[in-house]
Amino acid sequence: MNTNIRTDMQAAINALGSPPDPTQRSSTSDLSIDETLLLHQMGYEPTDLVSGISVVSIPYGTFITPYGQSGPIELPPATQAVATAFRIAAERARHECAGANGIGVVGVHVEVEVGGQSVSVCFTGTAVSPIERPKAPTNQPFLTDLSVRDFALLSRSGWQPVELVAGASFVAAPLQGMRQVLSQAGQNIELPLITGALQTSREKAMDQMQSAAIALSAAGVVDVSIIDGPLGHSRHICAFICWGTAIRLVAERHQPIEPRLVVPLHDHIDFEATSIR
Amino acid sequence: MTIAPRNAAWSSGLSTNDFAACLSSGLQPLGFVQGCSVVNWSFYGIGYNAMGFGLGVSRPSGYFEQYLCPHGIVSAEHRRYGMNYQKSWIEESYLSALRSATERLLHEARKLGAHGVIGVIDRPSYHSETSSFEISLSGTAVTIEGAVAPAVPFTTFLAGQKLNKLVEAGFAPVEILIGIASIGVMASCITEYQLTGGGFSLAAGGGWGAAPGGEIEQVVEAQTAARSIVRQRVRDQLGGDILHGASLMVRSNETQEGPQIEATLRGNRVRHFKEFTQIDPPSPVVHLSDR
Repeated sequence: MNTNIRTDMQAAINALGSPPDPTQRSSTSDLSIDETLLLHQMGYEPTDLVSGISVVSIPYGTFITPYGQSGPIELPPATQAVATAFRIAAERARHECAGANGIGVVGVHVEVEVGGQSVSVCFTGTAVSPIERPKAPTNQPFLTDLSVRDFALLSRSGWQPVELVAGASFVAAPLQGMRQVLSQAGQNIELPLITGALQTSREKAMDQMQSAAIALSAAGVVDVSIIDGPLGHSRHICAFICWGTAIRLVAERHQPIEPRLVVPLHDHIDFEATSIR
Repeated sequence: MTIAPRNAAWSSGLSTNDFAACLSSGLQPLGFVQGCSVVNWSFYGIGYNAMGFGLGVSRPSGYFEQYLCPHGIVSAEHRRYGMNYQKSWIEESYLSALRSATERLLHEARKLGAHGVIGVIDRPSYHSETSSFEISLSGTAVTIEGAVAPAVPFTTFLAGQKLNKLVEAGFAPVEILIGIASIGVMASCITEYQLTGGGFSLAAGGGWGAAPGGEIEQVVEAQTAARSIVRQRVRDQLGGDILHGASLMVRSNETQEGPQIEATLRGNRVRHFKEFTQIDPPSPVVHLSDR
């Protein structure tokens, strides 16, 4: 952009005296101005802020684990509840995106909350559409948790987001007997049962996410986010939930981006007044 | 550019960076302005009639859905009726506080002869000890060299470089927009069982079984309604303009009755005033910095 900011500022304020252009369609987006400009440069425009939510019940008794087990105990009802919540929330976000004439949702903010008896998954993001509208209807809208900057970088390298994929697993560590508890008392040693449960839940969840990507013919998953650790209400149960954007190569081959090296000529800390938006 | 001579020094809420960016774009800071309002904030208000809802005697205005118990008479404690309802009295309190705070902010800006208020900060706060809600707005009143004063001074959350980029891209700041939707959930017996895991319900086959799994329909519908209402409320105020940099916040408070959901949407209303200027394809760079 090569404009005179002072002239533009005057014109902007003078334009407030006239009503908005009736031919313009109202739109909403949670993108910053940098992201809007970048998106426009790529040939897309934001159309609407969309969301999708699902709250799924975890059947009673799922987190009650029996005594006398020797290895990690998987809890399929809880795993299934998270998978269902992700699937339905994604369907709702896609439905809202299609209603806004979008071809996909970028910068999806994913909120996952696991309670004692329920799990909630919520997606919020901005639906985008090409500036030059395609004549033929597009396939089902995609969802991606990539920021517009990452989306632009990926597109420039010849890749395309396919879908947001997720995996989840809940594994209980078997409850220890009195002899085992006493044998470990006062020693700083590894707790193999908890470690095993965490390891198992990780493997299962990552495997699910990878399987989901393979089913979509994606080459890989990027920008993976993870929630893991023992549940607040049942410390012997390890949860592992992961999600990311499945991507596929659409160009003939990967296009190297060859970044330029720059040395910033300012102090190492940027001044940022966090109280001022 | 020179700052106009005044009898007293001007104040502002701008950072040094934002101040420098303001001067470069012809904005002259006039003073720090603010407006606030405190309103009564009660969970129960006019229109709330828990007994009446189920019997259809009275209904609150706006969104309302009823969920009937499939069990019949079980016990005195059994939740025979469930409902989702829009808490219009809460929304109205919030919006009236926002309107008053905005008017006060603009009144101070007008007194300074400002064209607009930039870098607006909104601070909502709840005072449980007095059951009141306070909203406070503050920002920096500015005037623009050579511009015609608008009928109503513009307001924007942006300042400095971000505001300059917005204008360079072809958008004029119009006003800050904040919307709210408040939905109360009075959980039906089925929803209560799904949320707490307790109790029994009529199983699919017609017999009695454990609380049903799957989606918690009543909560999902309340959450969806809150998001949908707040977005529609803000869209209705756009009138052909654009909501930029929106932020949708949803909070859910668990109560004995069921979750109480509040969705707020805030952003900058902006107007297209010139053709969108295409930027050059950005060059990827790697910063060679120490940290």
